[in-house]
Amino acid sequence: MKNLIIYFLLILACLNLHAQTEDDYYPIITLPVPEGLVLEVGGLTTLPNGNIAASTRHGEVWIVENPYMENQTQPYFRKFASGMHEILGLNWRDGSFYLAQRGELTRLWDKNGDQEADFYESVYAWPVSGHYHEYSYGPVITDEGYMFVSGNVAFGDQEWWRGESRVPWRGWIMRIAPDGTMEPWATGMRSPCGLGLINGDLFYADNQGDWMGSGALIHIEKGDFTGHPAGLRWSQLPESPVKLKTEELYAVIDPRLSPPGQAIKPENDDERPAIPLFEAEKKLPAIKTPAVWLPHSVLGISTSQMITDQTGGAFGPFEGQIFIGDQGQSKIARVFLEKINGTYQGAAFAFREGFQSGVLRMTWGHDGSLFVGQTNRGWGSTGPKPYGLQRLVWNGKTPFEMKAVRAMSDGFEIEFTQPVDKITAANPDNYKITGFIYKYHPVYGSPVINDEDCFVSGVQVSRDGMKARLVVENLRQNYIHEITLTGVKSYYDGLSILHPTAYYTLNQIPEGAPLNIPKRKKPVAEAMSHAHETPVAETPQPAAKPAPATASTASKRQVKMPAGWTNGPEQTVQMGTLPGLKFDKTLVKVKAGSKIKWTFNNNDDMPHNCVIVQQGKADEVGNLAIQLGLKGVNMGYIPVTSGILFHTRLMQPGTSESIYFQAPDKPGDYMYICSVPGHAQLMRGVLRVTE
Amino acid sequence: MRIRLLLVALAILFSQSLQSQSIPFQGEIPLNDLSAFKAQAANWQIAGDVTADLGKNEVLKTSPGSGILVNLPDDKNKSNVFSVLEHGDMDMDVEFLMAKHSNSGIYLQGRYEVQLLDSWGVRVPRYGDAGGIYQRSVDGKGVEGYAPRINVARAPGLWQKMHIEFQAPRFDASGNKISNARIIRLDLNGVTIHENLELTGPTAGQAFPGEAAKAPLMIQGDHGPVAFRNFHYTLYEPGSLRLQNLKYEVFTDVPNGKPDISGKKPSYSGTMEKLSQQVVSENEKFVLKITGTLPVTRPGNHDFHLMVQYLGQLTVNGKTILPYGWGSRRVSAELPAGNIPIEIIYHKEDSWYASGLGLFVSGPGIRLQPLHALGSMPVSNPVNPITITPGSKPEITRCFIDYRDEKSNTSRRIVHAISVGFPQGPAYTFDADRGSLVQVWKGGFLDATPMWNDRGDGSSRPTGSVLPLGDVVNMALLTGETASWPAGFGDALSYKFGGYGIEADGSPVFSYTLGNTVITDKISPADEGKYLTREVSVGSGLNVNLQFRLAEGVKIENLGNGLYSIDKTFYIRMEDKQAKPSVRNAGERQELLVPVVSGEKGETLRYSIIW
Repeated sequence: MKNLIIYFLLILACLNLHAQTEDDYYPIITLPVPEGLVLEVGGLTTLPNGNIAASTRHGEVWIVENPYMENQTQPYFRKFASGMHEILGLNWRDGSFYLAQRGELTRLWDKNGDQEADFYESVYAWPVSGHYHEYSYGPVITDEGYMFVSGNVAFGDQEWWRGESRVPWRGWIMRIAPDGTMEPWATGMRSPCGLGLINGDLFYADNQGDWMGSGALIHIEKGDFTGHPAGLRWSQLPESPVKLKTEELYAVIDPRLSPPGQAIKPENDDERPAIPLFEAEKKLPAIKTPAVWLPHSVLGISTSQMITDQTGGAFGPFEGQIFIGDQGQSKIARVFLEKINGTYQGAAFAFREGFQSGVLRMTWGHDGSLFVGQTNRGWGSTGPKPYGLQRLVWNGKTPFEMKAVRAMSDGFEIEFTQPVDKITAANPDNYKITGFIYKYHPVYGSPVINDEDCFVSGVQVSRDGMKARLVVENLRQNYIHEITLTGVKSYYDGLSILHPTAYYTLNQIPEGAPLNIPKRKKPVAEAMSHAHETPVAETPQPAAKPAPATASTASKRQVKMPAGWTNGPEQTVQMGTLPGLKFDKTLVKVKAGSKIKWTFNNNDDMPHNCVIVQQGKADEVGNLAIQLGLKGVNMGYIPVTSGILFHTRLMQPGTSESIYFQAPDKPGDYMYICSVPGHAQLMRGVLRVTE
Repeated sequence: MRIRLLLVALAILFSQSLQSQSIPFQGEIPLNDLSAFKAQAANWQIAGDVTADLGKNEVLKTSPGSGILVNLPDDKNKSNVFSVLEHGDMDMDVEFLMAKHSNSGIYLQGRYEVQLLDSWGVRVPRYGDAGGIYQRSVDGKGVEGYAPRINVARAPGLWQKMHIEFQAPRFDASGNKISNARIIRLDLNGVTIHENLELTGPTAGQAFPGEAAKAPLMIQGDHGPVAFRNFHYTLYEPGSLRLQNLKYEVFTDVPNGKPDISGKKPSYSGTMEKLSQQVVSENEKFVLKITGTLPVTRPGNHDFHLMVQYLGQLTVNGKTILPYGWGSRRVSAELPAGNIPIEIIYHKEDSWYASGLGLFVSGPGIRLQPLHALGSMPVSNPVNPITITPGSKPEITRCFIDYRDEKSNTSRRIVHAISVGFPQGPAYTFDADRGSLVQVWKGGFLDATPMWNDRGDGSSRPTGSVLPLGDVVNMALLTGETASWPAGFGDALSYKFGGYGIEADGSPVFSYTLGNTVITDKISPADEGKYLTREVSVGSGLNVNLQFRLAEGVKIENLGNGLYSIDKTFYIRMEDKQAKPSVRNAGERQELLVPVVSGEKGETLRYSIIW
């Protein structure tokens, strides 16, 4: 009884405790957009007078006057130019707009001063083959006026999943001089939607896909090759600064090309082992590995633009850091970068989610707020609106966050935005660190591989409480280190960290004296193996037996027809997909208790699963799948929850699976969803169980 | 059993009785003389060529020969003409050519008029314009009448194409009408301007009272000169076909590759009422074999259209006419009368393919029709169309354009295309990679659905009737008099597209360079949008003798005063009298060339494309 009262008081205390939310610090303001204006933002820039300009996928350029809605009045949208070809990048320099159409870098002039373009200058036109996926991005413009643009690969005819470069400089970054001459600059790009200058250096962000295990932020120097082989087709041309040849790469990584007339996807071939990109780099030094990996489905699923905080503190405590958008999950991540031994690396954190559509473009307002241009047509996004322009504003309150994570010779140093409670911060048990990496292979995406725990053997908190210095065992160079702060509290309000996980890409381990503090010993049992248990086997199993799938898990994914179904299934449901995160059926009717064979054909070009959930549990299951974080992909995004009735495995594009189950006995509307993070809100349908 | 035998015997008898009528289901109305028509007045003649006058009303000049039916009415001779052919259900293709300001009409069954008119340049077409279905006259008042969706009529003196799919009214045994006549589809100059129009009765000016199952075609002859050629038709009989004795076998345990199911025991089997793949409950991988018979009453050529979502094979009358293969395919087969055995193999190796099986057939007197059940072939998802229409200013749209020219059998995706649509009506596509005008059209601007629906493929399609002008450069350096016209500029001329300026009226002026010489190029609507005039100004300093190719065709005729007819498909008119173009023979074809002299002052070339 006494215990119960204590529990009750504890619960009350918890309720009283103020839990941080992103809304508490960074409210989102939605700009009204005129009815009928399809503001699918492909490019966004700030004009010298503080107005915002947006280019759209419908080929228009709009100037947004009064974007800060001062005087409580509406913004005014002025059409500056129109009729261009899917403008996915917009910039301003010396009185002109510069923008990337699918096949051209264009400069817009307003010679007669009527606030409307009257000359559309073709600065440089590059070849395209006319494939839908040949999007072009940019330009970013250097101080000297050089303009960088980038281009997506096309996809194959026979091998429709394989990125290919049909004409020169697709899958490349090009540099165009002010006089219109073009230099091919770097290749290895697959879907280089994000381009940016950080401290004057060129960076780009790529998307997960074939040869790309996860999204990432990559530093580009002339002649770099970042991993996708399509663009290497042109490396034999005299003007190519990349010298690596396709054959040299294929000698190290088997591309698993299909035999003629037989299209076999690499993932259907077998479960071959694959090495990470950094291992390939050891054999082929031309490879450039990312400065910072952005773990797939955790920090996003389709990386878009990056932007450096140069607001001088007007946007909060992250001056000098980088924000990176994500189209599919409608959110923005934050990156702290440092340079060790001349190489960029750093930590990535979640920052702000909940935008109304897919986050594609960002630009700073003159007041230090961040304008966020959005579109999701064709791909869908967690934010359900088709497009939009929103503004992210810092309200002056400082969130309790990891401000930075720095690599040390024997661990990491974490800097906080507020002083920490020294007792919780000094406890090594409050830090959980795991190293992992992705495969480099022709398959779409990658599971997490080579994951091993790191042991935190000591922590030293700085006197001002702003930093914690961790001594860590089993640091591995080139690996991503997931650092989760489980119990560290802030000094003032006892707050938990708003985003408690950092992903540090440890390209280099710096020199330096080890920290001379008392260290704890690793417990013996844990020392025996670093390897994680397989995530599916969450139920404890006798050590002697290999862990089989638990009974409940097995019955949720029954892929052979149950022996008792002598007359076969009573109903067969054929489920496929439509582009834009949709199942091809939104309503399926079955009889209560009937024997169902449910076939899910993933005919989309990205991975999906099909999860049938308990009544009213669609959102919950979707959120639980997101919370799986890194474990998600290896678990097929199937969280352990009673909310899930039945599910398929996570299916690669072009694969199919049939599951067998008995429909629920209770009539009513159930739902089926795809629980891949970012999909569940859109990709769902109703399973109507009738008497 | 006996009943079945009797039915078969009856079917054979029936087929023989039809054969004895020996209807030529497909044919051409011969125009070497007037024997295909009933006795007529002297206004109807046969000619070898006709030429209209762009400037004079109701004038057609003829030259002797055959192949063209011409109406040259005067005060005395202005009768209508009737075909000997009597038709019910019919598809028909014909080319016609209007004199300026002329008026005529094609009366299906002598009763339902498809209007022919010189509707060149009409912005908002009415039922009385070219391709309109004329009004009915009820109690002296005009009712119904259907305007074309858009006006795609061409200029006087140019051959225009009309395709009509007509279904005659149906009558019961006692002669009562049980369904109305119907225009299933009507295409003018390649654009569908009517679809599934029900005609509640004859239109004004009908030649015969009431309505009938069969009647001759009438062409109106009392309103002005008009010419016709290439009169093709296909006749159909009412009724539908149905596969009989349908049996199926499903094999589920089949290895990949071409299946060998001979002698194998099926996993399950049965009979079906109508051809369908939906009998397969197993969807992972399967082979579905369907057999049945097709009752053929009229021997002759049959077209089969097999649609499978994966692999299929079609065997008809013991002969495999579509071998094991992918997707949607067509084939013709000569069939005798009788119950013809049909065998279909449908093989699906990948479960993620949605299942689909369809079979269409057409034959002598039988309109193409599905033999499968409605659900067997899934209907693709229709999407909301997104069109771009010029408002008060021209619309400029950059997108991929799939250029097609059926005459020269060329097609290419133009990736740096700039299309411009004018409020006055005409539109064109400019290829910025070659500085060339590749196509013009009238009748709306662009359908951007392929580009702006879902991910889109970056392309849009002209909504009107397109006149392809050639997917090549317009200017070239010819190395000799017989040198063939090149597709591109080549390295010697170093072409670069510079962009375009926007004039006060919103229309673009393109600029590009050859070496250091700047060329500007403006294409504008003229005469209230009836045609386009192009002005190409070549700056100074180009020290080579360029040729400008104005047009290309089989036969280029100089009609005087700077006007040229290109195959009577379009006209080119020089707008500066001093320009001296010449016709050059290029193999079987001809080219209209004019030299461009850059010199010290540069040169401006002005010409119109009239269609």
